[in-house]
Amino acid sequence: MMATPATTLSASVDSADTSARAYKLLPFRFERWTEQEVLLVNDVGDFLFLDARSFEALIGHRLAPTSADYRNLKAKLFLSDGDPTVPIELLATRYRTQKSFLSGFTALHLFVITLRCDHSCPYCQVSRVKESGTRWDMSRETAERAIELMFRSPAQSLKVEIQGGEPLLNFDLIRFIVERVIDRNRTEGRRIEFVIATNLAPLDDEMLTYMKERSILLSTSLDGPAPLHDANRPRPGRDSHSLVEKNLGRARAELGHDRISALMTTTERSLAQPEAIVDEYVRLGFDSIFLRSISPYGFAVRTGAAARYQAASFLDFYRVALDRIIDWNRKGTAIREVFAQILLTKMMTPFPTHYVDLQSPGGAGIGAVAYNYDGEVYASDEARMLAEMGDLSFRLGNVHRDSYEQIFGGEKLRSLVAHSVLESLPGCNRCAFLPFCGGDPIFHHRTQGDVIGHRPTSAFCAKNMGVLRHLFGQLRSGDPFIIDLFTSWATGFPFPGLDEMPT
Amino acid sequence: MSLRLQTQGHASSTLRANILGRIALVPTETEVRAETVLLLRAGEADLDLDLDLEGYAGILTTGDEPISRAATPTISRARYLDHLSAGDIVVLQPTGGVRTLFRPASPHNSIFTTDRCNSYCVMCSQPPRRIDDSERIVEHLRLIELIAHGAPCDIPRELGITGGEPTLLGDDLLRIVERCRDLLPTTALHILSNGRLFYYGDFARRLGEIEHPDLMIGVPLYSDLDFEHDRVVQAPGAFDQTLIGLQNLGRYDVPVEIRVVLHRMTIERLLPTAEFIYRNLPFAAHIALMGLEPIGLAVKNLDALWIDPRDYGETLQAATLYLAARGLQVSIYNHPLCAVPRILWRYCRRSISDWKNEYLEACSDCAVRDRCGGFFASAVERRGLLRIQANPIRDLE
Amino acid sequence: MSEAVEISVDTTLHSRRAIFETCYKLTGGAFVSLTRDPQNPDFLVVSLRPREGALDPSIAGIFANELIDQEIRTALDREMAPIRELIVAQAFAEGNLLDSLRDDGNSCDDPLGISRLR
Repeated sequence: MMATPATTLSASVDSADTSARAYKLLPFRFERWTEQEVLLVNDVGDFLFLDARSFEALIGHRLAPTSADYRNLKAKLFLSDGDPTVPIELLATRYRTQKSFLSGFTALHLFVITLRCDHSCPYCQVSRVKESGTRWDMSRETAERAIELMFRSPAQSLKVEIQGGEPLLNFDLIRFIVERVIDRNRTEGRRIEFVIATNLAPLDDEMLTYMKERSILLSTSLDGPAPLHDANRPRPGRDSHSLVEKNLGRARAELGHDRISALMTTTERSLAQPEAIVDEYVRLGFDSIFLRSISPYGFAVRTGAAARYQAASFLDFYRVALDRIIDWNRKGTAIREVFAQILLTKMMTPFPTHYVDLQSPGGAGIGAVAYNYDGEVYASDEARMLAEMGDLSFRLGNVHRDSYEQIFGGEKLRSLVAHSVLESLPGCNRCAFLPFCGGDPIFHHRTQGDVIGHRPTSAFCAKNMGVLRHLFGQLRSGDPFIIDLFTSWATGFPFPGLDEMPT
Repeated sequence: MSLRLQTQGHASSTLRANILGRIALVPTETEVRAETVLLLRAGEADLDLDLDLEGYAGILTTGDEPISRAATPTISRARYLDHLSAGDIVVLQPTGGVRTLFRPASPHNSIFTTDRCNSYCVMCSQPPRRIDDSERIVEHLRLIELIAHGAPCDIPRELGITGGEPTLLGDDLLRIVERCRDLLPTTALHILSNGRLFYYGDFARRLGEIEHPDLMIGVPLYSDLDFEHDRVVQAPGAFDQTLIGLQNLGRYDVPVEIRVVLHRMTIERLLPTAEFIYRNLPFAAHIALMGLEPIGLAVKNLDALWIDPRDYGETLQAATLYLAARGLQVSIYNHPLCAVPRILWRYCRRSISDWKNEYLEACSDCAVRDRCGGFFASAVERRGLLRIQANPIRDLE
Repeated sequence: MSEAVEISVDTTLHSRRAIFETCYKLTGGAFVSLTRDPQNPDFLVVSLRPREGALDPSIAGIFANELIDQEIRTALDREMAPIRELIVAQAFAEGNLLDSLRDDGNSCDDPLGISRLR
């Protein structure tokens, strides 16, 4: 790509008609929005709606330069009637910014420090509930090797996510890893963030004191109100929800309210109660909720009509839940939906997001990597789950046996990256939503037996298209409250509201 | 009343070239005299034969030439000097002119680098002149030295570099920035430029490499459409050059401010321009939405340009809140508070330089006068024509 | 419509690329096969059979409209390709491929005459 001879390309750009009314189209993709309207999205995610007649005039090079559409298309870099190298440079700068995750390389490092767990959630086939002892724990040697590999990554910001099983059951190793990383970073000077993904059940005061001392963030699991949560997340005593609620309070008091976030796993049971789930997050004082689709890991994979039905019912669930979230905001309770936030950031801002599932090329391995308790290195947490189910397709190597170059420069990762470039995927390369989406080859391997996948039957595609269409529809509806709310989610800045006093 | 910044007198034959110096009202120690212009009251000098006037950079008086002046360059019989204070820096010209270059008491000090410009903006407040004033660099560098050698409390918090178009100085502009970095490290430097010459990446890179600790370069952008911007600055190709220039400055980490002057030719595209800035120049450290100063070319083109700020309140509000909601620092300059929707007051700054800042009679019983930016003296002067009026604020809940 | 639907496509009007893209898009709800019309070799016959249940009754219309859009996309892709490549090339290039002056141009030499006085 870098070797592209500039002169040839410039010549072909410059040689076109230079008469006053001539314009060149700058790269965009389109989708029919309604009978009368077309959605245009350029390669860096800027979009506009155009009525069908103007669209036809535009692509026929007949759009009048005096029209408002022409001016807006020009200002938004959908067409150029002057020196095209200037908009090209602006777009290239934007494109580089959006692909900046590539130069940072792997930033998220998951340490699976034990498979032991006190829960037996059906959506996790990994945990070893009844085990004790160290058979399923990560050793210090393995942790040390993984840390060394992590510091080989060129990323200036590193996120160390410690998970399990239930990682608090192996708290000594948490201390070991955190201290080791901090010590090692004295000469490295990276920005480091620690997160522990925990169900909070084994939490004690000593752990909290340590977490506070080391500014560790917590990410817990909350699936909804007690009956749903406890059904999804069985535990001896069926008290998972009450333990979360109790320990959430303790952790917030000790670490600070905003230091603990929660993740929700959507199950078929969840689909019937979108509002109750949102309300529970509000009741427990969370300012965000991530409405994640049903995970294909640990479940029987659905295909054909069943898969489409599942995707459709998730979308119904999602829309109702999002409406509920918007309602809470209308009533003055700030809570945002994280998946929408990620997409809106791509749609409404020039800044990159760091969500590995919605990147092209995909983030597996190059954005995130998982070090398993036994030293095996996987391209993602999902790849690790697959391995526990007997599928080793995305095992990149082993911390003891393989070098950084072998793991991160090997054939498996190269193939994963190559098969997650949307511009080359059938069904994606012409899709208007391409700049907002990702390839997720591991998901397609799991659900369709093929890393490339078949878009017309892909649940991943159906869900992303559905959510994107819904978000565009909300923006198009013109409700000023929703536009302001979505803007604040996308940008991360509160909207300068009318209620605030001038100073 | 606006302040006087120049006066006129008779130059002595020893005043052969422009001389810069810091005003002193009382005789100073010998060591600092080379930087000092001593201001003598009328009658003070011509009576005292023994007055020691050796070694001063210059002498300034409303009276006659002092008898004991020796060879010290002098401007005598100045029309007035009461606008000068100790610490002010002035230039004495062989023509007898005395211009104030720096006033420690003012927050609005600038170095006027050149009268030349490569644009010709329809509303330019100081129309450019095609003269070769490149030798003035010596004075600019001297001025920086004099400012730096002033009393510690007289070191300015901010210093402007303006013109004309300062980038026409080329490498000499970089020398000015370097000199400021070395001698005035605690002074924020604010350069006003059309940014066009930063199209050349090397120029932007070298400015960035100076690593001035507190530099900002304010660059106007009048539209999101090339032909509209070019029509305002009356230079074809300027939009493209400015945009690439801004990108280059961003690339080399030189903080940039985008300035949009609001008038009839720019107001229609203000919101799309704000959107354009956010999409393509999100690294902008500050965005200033500025009211029109009716002076210079703006007066000549008044019919095409003038629009009462009260008539574009909605547009101003949409653009300001659009930028603010995206975390961009945005300010509204040159607007009295009563002309701006109240929700925007927090973005209004008292931006008009003190020496050309006025209020109307009606302002005296306004509840927010003390935090209002008021009017340009030039607007008050044309208040009838422009239908300028103040709507004193009485209710402040 | 549980029967197969057959649509005849004139290949002198439509590109193979657009036909295949259109067929691909419909493979979610239908089994799609392509054969050459034995009577008229310029025509392709697209045969759509339901995967389950019945076909959308307006499937032929959907196909026809989608074919036009895919034709437009093919034309747009071709038209935009040089600029699209240039954007990506410039995004990942070390220097400036568009105009080297933007990278290393010197304001004193001013080859573009930007500093010409007004």
